[in-house]
Amino acid sequence: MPDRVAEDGFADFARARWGRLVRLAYSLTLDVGRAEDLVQESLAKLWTKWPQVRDGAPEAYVRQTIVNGAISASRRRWKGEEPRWDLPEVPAPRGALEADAVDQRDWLRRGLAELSVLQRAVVVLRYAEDLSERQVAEILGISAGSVKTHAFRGLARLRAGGHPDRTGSEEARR
Amino acid sequence: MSDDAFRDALRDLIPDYTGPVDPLPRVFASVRRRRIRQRTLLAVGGTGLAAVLALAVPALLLSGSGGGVRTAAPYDPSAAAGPMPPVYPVTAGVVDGADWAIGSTTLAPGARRCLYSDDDVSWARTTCFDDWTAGAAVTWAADPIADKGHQVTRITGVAPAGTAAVRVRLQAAAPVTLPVRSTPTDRDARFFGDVLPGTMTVLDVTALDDAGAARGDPVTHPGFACTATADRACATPVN
Repeated sequence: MPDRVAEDGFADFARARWGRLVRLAYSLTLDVGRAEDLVQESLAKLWTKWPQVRDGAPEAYVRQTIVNGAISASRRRWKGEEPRWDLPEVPAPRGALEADAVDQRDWLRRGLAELSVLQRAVVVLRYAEDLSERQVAEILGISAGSVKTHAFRGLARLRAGGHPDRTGSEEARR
Repeated sequence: MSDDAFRDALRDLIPDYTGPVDPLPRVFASVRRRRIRQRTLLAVGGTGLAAVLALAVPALLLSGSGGGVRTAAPYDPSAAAGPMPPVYPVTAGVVDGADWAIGSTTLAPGARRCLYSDDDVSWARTTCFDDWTAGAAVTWAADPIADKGHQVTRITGVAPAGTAAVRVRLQAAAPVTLPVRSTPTDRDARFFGDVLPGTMTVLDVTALDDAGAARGDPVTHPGFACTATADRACATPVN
């Protein structure tokens, strides 16, 4: 089945974007398994819309589906297995001078876990996906002013999370 | 952490992630799983048995390849969970705020040129045009549907190669022009479809060339097509 639809462009699209989309989904769910499931479901949904969106913006469509899926999942009372950041095996935070890429990612994961899913989505779309406030507002169905507020508060909470260095402080003031 | 480092870290929180060798089987497994889940929910609820049976269409083994009414094996839940035949996108849209999509598929040697829908307005609907032969005039079917609370008319058909679009004239609405699509289901066929709100009566369908000129006369009568019913696949002519 996958090979037979290759000529429609969907197969190439899905294969080429899988990793990037999983990374986006991970930044929203903070769980690899859930991120993969989310991308899988979103691409399945995209497949049914492929004739409509193939010549338009399929990546934007699937990105919106992922974001909405992550937000919807977070609103459900039971969300299955939750990532925990206070497990004994998690290494203790290091000092500023020891912070390296691994520490930064670890700290960022912890910080994102402390944000509301909406704040997390705004921060990810705004700074990882490089979308404008207006684009983020359209995806999330909120006003541009709310995007700005969530971005500011999200970054402020990340900074308050104790990273030894500043984090996007200039962006937050914009 | 600088802004750039922040962005980089945010973009790649899982740098060691490799993912599956080929994600496509997962995606299509998801498509199939959603359909099976729908069937299960219906079966557990004890309602909509006809819909459950209709959903099994892609997995049913059709028998007989001659013209006329085709018959199928009785519904078998284990067969319903079997592999889905490939469905190639033909067209999609929104009607009454509900999404719909039509794809082409081959169910069996006796049901090769089929147009399949399983969307927000219809349970698995399959309309097959096996009597159509390569180069023949356009053939079509109009199928009133009220599966999921939306009263709509599903138009499907097949046109010969060289057709760029078809014009569908309706009794109580303006004509619509539909693009046609070539798929691996049948390279000689150009598939088309549409879902319109309400119950529509099709007056005729005309094949058009690239310039929008008619290719042959309007076809006023629907062609022979069959669809799935509760207990048999392709046992009931659409028209």
